[in-house]
Amino acid sequence: MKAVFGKTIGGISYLTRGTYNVLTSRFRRSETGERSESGERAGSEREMNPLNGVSAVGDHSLPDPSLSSSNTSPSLRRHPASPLQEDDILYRKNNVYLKCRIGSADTGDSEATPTNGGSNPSAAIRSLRNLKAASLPVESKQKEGKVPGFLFITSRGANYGSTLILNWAPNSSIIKCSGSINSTICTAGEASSDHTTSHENERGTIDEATPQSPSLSSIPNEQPTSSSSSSSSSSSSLPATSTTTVATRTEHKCVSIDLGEMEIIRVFYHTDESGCKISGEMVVSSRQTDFWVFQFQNGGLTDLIHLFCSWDYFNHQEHRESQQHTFTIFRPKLSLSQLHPGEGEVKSVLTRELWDGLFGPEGRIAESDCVKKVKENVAVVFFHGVSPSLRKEVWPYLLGLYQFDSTSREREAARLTHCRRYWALDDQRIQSDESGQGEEWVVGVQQIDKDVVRTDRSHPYYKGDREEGRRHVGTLKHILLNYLIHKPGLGYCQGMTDLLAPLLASMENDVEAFWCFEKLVEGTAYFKPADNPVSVEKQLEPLRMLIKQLLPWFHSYLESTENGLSLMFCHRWLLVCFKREFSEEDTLAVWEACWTNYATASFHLFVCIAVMAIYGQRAVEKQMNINELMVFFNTLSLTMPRELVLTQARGYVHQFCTSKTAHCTLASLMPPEFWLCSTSPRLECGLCRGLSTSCESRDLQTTPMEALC
Amino acid sequence: MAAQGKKEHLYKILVIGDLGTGKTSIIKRYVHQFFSPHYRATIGVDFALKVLNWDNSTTIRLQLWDIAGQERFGNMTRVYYKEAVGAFVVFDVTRLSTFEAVQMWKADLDNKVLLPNGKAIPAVLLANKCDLASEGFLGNINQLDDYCREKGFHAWFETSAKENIGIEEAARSLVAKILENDETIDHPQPDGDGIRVGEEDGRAPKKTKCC
Repeated sequence: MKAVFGKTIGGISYLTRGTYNVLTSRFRRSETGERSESGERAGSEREMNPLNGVSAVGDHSLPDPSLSSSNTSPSLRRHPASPLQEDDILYRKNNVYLKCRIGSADTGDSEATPTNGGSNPSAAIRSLRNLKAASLPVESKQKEGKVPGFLFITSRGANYGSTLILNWAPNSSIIKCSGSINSTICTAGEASSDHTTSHENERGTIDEATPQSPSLSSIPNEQPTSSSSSSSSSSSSLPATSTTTVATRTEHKCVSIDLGEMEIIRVFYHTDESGCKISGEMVVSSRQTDFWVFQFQNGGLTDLIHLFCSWDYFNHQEHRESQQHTFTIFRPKLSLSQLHPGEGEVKSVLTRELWDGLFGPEGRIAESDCVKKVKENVAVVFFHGVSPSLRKEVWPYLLGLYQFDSTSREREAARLTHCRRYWALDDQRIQSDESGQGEEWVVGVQQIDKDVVRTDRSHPYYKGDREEGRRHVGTLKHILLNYLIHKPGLGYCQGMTDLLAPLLASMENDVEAFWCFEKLVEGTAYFKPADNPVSVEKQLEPLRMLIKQLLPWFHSYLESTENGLSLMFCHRWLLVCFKREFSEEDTLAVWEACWTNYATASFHLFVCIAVMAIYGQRAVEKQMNINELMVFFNTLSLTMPRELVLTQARGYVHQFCTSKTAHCTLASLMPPEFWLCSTSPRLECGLCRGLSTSCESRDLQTTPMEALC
Repeated sequence: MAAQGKKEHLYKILVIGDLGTGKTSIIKRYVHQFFSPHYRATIGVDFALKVLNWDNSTTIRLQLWDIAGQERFGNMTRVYYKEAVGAFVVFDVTRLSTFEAVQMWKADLDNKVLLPNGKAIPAVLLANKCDLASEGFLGNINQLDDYCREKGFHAWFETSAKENIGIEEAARSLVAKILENDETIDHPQPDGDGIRVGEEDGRAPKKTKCC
């Protein structure tokens, strides 16, 4: 992009580069300032950059606004790992009015209302009230009247740090350019859209982020010294620190806002008879008490909304009644600087070639290098997952249905047994159906009936409009009913359909899907008989302890929040193993990583940790109560970048494995061999409930785990 | 704050009832004016926000807590109920068992959350899927008046998320009750409430006005 700008579009190149030079230098400065304080606990007011993600740009020549119209690149869905470059202009619109801008507040009171009644004044006022009920000092409010200007939005940063920068410059600051440059503006627009498309294709790999690891920002509980020492190497394109500079004083009051650092953007619109959004307002509000109200009088809103909708970290809600779009911004923050050492060693998913290469003549892995080979392949799955076409073959191994050292003859025998046993269950089910006996059975059938028809119906395998889809839904139901017979006393638990549906869709075989499902429910899920809720509660214990060990800042926040440690906000994560938090494909990647049991038997808990680490700071900053916390984490659904979450989760596994001690409730996270072989971490039992302190700090090497707890 | 004009309220409303009674559908209809027969089963809890311009001086934001129909966490769901000021209890007119479960849900509600003055939070009963009522079990639906009075429901409505029947009215009724409660709690009677809380041992009072 830089090259494109440099070559083809002199005028605008000057504009944007100039702008970014100013921005970049300011970012760097503020970054250093912030880093030096980053040892403070998250949430402390001091740590927040007082400058609120806003910067002013000086007097730069801008292209003639009369010629540029709103323009958005067509397809912008970005993967967080795709390498973005600076300066991609994604949107621009001339004659956008900055109606009011209200600065940070401490004390005092005045009415926080814009002075000019615009096309939709009540909406803007309402939104201001909604956003912050704080009182604002007169001085900080800049009554700008209605200043027309040129608004453009650019992308900045690479990998997980990508963000949108909203720039606005008053027309008065714009120096008219010659006609020749105007034509090149279009070139810029086209070039940037081309570029975007190419990013999309490069749905990226994490490897590219790895070399940057030393400069990733550190979590607040780390030593301030270590974090500030790393800051010098970080560039402005990195996340987590890029808050910026306020436009306190320039003559033309240009505005540049890092939208990734904002809290909410609301777009209010009016429509004409044909439903086009012809005019309206955009209210940008920061996490502190800053607001900007931009007024659009002549179109451009549709493209703007389209751009925001396409941006991964913007959670979109439309309220048609009040003609309003709300975008809540959840920019993920890298919180762990040290990545898993295996990161980057494996480059791609488990392929047919790798997989077939495993098996020797008898369909078994040669004994001599079995352990090593299996471990290598499992590592591939742990880091990158399984190629979709291989899933039906690999999953039974991952879930423990087949052993890696089995021969093909042994597996064939197992398959026959599975079939026989499953068909016996089939017969039993048909009998139960006919006799209609037992209330539990009737209730189970009813609930399953309700749920199967609404599970994954957008998946091609279950699409409702085809006969086949309906048949597959029927199979889903039969498997679940058979499972009820197979495990009497457990009963149907909501969420089971969510786990089973992808298994059946990949296996395309009810018998194998059934037995894999059995393993899955046994192994990773939290399904327990309904009359025994205690066990669910109990299963949260390791997670609590893990938070305490790996994210002490978040743990102490939860501890100080009423019911915070109930961890109700992660129940859905655990129940259906993140199926509702990620898209279908992303979910399967999470599942496969969990099923490998590579490095840990409870990878899903580390995924929980990663999500809390990446987004939890926002919760701490705002001192959310448990209600707000539940809403907050719920809203993150489908906005979280999978690769970032998984990379961080793997990093936390590594951090756990290299820590000095671990609480004994965490013993189950690792296989027994781990504790026997390693000298660190050692298990500590001092805080075990009901145990005397005498067992404190005993080493596993001398005592079996069970004896300790 | 410049609140000379409008009053703003944020109310937490619970939507509870058996699995598959249409809680999510009711909420989607109410908030997004949209119906689909294939909403996924709710796991845990989901949220929706409805903004009401109640009158010229009042804006009300209803935070709707769409709670999973299958209750599996026992006492832990107390956290979901915390600070709620109103509730919809939903049943499916085509399935008697969901109606029988209404009492259980109401008891659970009153057990887990109370207004600051110790009274039960207002609850409105929704007889959902009334577009399918021909196959319904409710022979004489008027008996529901008595039922509501007996069980302490503020009101009941026949609803259909599919045909958009009754939902707006039900919400208005609940909000009106919440506003009424809000005023009495803001200006509490010095005596009455306090005594009753003591008497009832922290439990819900016998009855609120019905219908």
